[in-house]
Amino acid sequence: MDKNYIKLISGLLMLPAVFLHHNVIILFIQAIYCVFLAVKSGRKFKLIPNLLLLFSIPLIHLTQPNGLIIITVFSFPITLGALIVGLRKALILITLLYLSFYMVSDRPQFPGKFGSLVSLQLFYVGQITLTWSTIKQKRPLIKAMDQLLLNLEEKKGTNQAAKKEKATLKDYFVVAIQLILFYGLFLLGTTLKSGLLTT
Amino acid sequence: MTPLSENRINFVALLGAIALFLSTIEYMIPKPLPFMRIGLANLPLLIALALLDNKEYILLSFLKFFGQALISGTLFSYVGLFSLVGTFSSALVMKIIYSLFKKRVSFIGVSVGGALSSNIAQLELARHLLFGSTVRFIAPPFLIVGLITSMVLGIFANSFTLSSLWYKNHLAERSDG
Repeated sequence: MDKNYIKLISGLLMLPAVFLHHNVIILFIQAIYCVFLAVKSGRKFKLIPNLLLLFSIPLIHLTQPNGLIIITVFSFPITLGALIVGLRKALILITLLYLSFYMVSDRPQFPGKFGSLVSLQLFYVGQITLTWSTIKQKRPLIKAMDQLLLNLEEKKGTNQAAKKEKATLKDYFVVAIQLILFYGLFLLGTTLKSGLLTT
Repeated sequence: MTPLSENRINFVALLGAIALFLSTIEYMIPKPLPFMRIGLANLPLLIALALLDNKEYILLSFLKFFGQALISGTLFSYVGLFSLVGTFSSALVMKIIYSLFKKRVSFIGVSVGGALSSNIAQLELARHLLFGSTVRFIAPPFLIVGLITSMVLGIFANSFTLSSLWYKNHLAERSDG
């Protein structure tokens, strides 16, 4: 197998362990782990946008009360269920974002025509998040979006696949350890009887 | 059938990436039913009506479904099936409305048509798979939300297509080609 497929495939194998999880603490550890993988692969990590995501999504979910009422603020109930659902979604988003950064860091090329289309789609998603942060004036939104699309057009064709190189035994070993760690966390989360932290 | 050029594949992938990006934003917004969506990811499908041919449009619809299912983790679930049915019915209706009445119907009309067809197809599926005849209780809020959000999306698409330089460039490129 080519080396640039290894990260992609290991990332795809990790996905079920993210989606099927309901324990917020384990999801948090998985998120940190994916951030670590992405940073190790050359991506930058910015704390503030992730913190904003982590606070804003649970806040939005509070508008849909669910489960135990923790506190009532001006007759508005703050519920534990809504907080956990929001927190889980935020953590899944952060995990997926950094996992996808890690998966495409070696610029893999899926086989076939549809495969190359999906590869390009993933490449552009990465470029959207990168380019959007470089646009200084984000209002009016339409103008900023237009600028984003014009900038992205300039990046056309830069998604060349990395030089093909056969994966070594060491590469397979690293991926196997990663998967064992990830699914170890997943199993730990599913066996923990922590009703408070699961959705 | 002629194969797509590299340039066109790039363009469809870019629109697919926007759909995926908007799906991510939509995922953050809470919803009362798992398949009840605002439809933000439909924006590239609306904008692409004048920019893509039928084959490219089908590819974009598939990329949109795929991206949405990937983000929400519903690719192999019944929610994924709802998304698939909704995406393709709305894409089909929007393409038909736009092709037949583009001079008389704005993006608002096209968007509302697409949303209604998507909602009706999903409600019909929900009747068969989940709720049976009780689907009539969720139909009104479902359709009302779809109507409102699709109107907002249509207004946005109208403003965007009127003022975007990127859109004008591609429109000119397409009419030249």
